[in-house]
Amino acid sequence: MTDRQNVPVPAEQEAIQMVRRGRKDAFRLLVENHWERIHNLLRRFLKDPDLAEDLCQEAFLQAFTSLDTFDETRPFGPWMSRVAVNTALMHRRKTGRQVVVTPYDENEIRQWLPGPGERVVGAMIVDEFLARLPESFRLLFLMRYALDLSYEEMADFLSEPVGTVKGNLYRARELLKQAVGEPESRPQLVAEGATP
Amino acid sequence: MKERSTPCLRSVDFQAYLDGELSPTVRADLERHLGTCSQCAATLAAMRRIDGLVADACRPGPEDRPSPARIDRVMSRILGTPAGVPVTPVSTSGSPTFWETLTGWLQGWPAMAGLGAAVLLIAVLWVGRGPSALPSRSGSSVPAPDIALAPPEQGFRFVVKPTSGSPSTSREGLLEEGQPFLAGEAGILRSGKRYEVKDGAILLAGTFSGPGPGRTAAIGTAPAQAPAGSLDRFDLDIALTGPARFIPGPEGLRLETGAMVCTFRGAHPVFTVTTPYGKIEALGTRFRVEIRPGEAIVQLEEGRLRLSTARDSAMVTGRQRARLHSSGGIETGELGSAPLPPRTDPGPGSAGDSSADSLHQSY
Repeated sequence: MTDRQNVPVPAEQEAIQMVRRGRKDAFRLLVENHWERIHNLLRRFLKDPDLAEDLCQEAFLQAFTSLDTFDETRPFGPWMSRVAVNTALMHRRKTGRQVVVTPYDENEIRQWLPGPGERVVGAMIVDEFLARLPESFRLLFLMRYALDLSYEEMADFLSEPVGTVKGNLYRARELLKQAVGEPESRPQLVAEGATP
Repeated sequence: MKERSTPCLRSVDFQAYLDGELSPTVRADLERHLGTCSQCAATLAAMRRIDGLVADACRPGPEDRPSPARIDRVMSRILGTPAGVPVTPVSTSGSPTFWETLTGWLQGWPAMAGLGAAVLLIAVLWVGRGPSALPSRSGSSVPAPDIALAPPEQGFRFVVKPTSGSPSTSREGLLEEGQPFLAGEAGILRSGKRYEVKDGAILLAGTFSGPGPGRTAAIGTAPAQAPAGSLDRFDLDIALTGPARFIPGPEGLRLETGAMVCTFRGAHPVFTVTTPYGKIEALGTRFRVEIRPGEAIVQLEEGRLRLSTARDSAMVTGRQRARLHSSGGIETGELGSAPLPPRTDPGPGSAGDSSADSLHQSY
């Protein structure tokens, strides 16, 4: 399920109703269904496998304790994503590291880009690119590609105007394009960079 | 070096186009433009390539998989049980009994303790009917029954539920041969071939000989184009939620992991869902099956199901739930007060025998 799915999954809807009636064990279905996506998000965002594991658990625990606030007529996935992102951001705040999206500073990103000598190809460079991005920009990419959030949802998540999100995403992509190389300007990457 | 030309003004829309953020009108207009502007088509192709690379890089990896141990750790914390204690049955000895399940349900109504006690008393009396009512759950594991598979040319039509207003590349999972599928896409699932739904939902649709132009539109395939084959005997919808593994066959579906909701729309032959722990034969019904470690949970909203394992069998009617254990035992009980989600398309479906007077009928 992607987060843009706006229809609840019947089995999950039922599981939520069961949890609300006291069947805590019914929450298992929700953990099973969403663990992979949430863990992926946190692992890539935090770049720390152990911390990602811990916060993934925390996020599900938080979701369980906050389930009363969830509107079950809506899909569980986006709400769970929000809980996970908030859990990660809260952790950063607790450890004294704020994740702020604005103001956008291209130079800030450029210094994280791989240099010419470091350039690799294809998906590898994107992994590298994502890993080197400041957290705020990495989060933008993850929200767009791992969670499939719309601009509006991303803006809502980050309490930023839609235009800011859209602009930052556009500029980050432009930088990625430069790093990966456009086919017409980097013909050597066309062959090497092809993904299976 | 190739000389760059001035970018077409329409290229400013490409990011929004790829992100599915354009209105249908603007999108259609841009697509028409792409048919006539080779420069834009090339630019968009390059952007798609980058987009695909990022999407690939953001996909979950093997390290993200939800192993039972991981899920157990979370559930241990949620249930307040010590870490390391399995919280969902992984063997017959670890499974909650029907009694435990019942008391679990009652925990949800602390304010109704008196009523709960009365219900418990009734439950005691019912459980006290003896082993014929609740088969013993001890015993050796039962090998998973199998279904005969149809020749590969027979297929099962499917449609992937759209994730947004317009079709876009879905990141929900992979279907046949690892090819990404598109939201809103219809196609054929080959009998006897294993499919995996990593996440999200996929809707399998049976034959639509009974009518409903809307239903035909829903799968995007005219009935006349449906392949000939025994699977076309069924007039039903199956919504699978992932992670799930399933194999369509001529008698029905083998569900190895995940969960499914099955809704029949009209008269049909017996449709069989084969799980690792037993078989469920649907005789006109709407029901849900979920595979869990050591058991298959069946919830029946209406109609009739025949359940069977290697050492037990039962018929359930009306709103009931049942467990098929790896030990070969079957437990049944009334479905809780919460109904299964309402049908999206009621259709002319068969209500079947909705009476719930028989909690467990051996036959």
